Amino acid sequence: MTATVLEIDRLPADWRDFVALTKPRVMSLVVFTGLCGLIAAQTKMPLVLAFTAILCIALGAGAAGALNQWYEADIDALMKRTQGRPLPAGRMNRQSALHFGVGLSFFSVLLLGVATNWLAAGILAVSILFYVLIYTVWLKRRTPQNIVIGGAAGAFPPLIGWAAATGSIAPLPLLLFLLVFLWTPPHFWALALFIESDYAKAGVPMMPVVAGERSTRKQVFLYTVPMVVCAITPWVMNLTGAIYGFTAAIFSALFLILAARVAQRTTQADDAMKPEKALFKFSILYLFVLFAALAADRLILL
Amino acid sequence: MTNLPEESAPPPLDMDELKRRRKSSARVIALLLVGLVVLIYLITLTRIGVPQ
Repeated sequence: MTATVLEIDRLPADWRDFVALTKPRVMSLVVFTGLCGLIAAQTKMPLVLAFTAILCIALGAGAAGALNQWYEADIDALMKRTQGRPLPAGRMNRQSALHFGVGLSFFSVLLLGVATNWLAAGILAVSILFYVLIYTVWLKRRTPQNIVIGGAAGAFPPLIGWAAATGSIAPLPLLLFLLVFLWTPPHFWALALFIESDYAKAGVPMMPVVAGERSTRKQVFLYTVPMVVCAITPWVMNLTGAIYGFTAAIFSALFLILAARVAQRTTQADDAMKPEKALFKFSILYLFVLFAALAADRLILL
Repeated sequence: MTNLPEESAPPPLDMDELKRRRKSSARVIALLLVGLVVLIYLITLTRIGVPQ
């Protein structure tokens, strides 16, 4: 067994490991929200430049993911969910991950700046730095508020998409930024509630580990309320059409119901944590559907 | 003493696996480079075509 591990360690990392380093599953949501931000801007942007902008958002997110895995290799090795990643599994050395992350960061920012504009490139650079320095290095191991503030990093893509298309910032992309920002705590705390022991083992001060389960459940609901307000505001302010408005209203009501169910519960012995899992899954669907409705609203209007 | 494991040299590299990885990495890098060149060419064409 040991011989096999040593043998794998001495081989160069496979290209699939570099792909895994970019957290492709997280990237899909980032790309989608970035694309919808770009579509929402309603400009006649050349297809090549639009494609490049989305590619750069994806590469920037991948770079941030790689740097995050480079820094967190020690705690990733302690959690079941992350043990199979290239670094804790010994399929890649840390230096390769660092070089890959830094290189990809510079490349994505420069390409975005050259292809579209430097405002979009600047926001992309800020989002990478925010995710790596503020969230990963500074907050994650220090405070249970880690994902509240760190959530801002994941909220940048719609803003980048809009800025790439228009060269400016407007109220709608700022509201979209705020929506993703406020969506992050209920999304991650729902996850943290049913994988609490894993975070505790790694010493990550997630809310359920530090403040306890009851407080976390309450806070899930407390963040859901302003998130719902933020989701509906673009329609109320007449920044979007009815497709988005009705979708946001219906899905936000469902989100509120699921969050209320989580808030009212206490974990029993051998609890399957179904409401928490349901909220976590629904939260992903929620963001996809709302952004899809926003894009549909714009594309139908065109 | 007799129970101590014997010190041994690291096992030889799996040359077939090494070759396979190098080949597949080279293919991916070549594909990415071609894609990048095409993309930069198209960006250049588009940017030049856009009136300032």
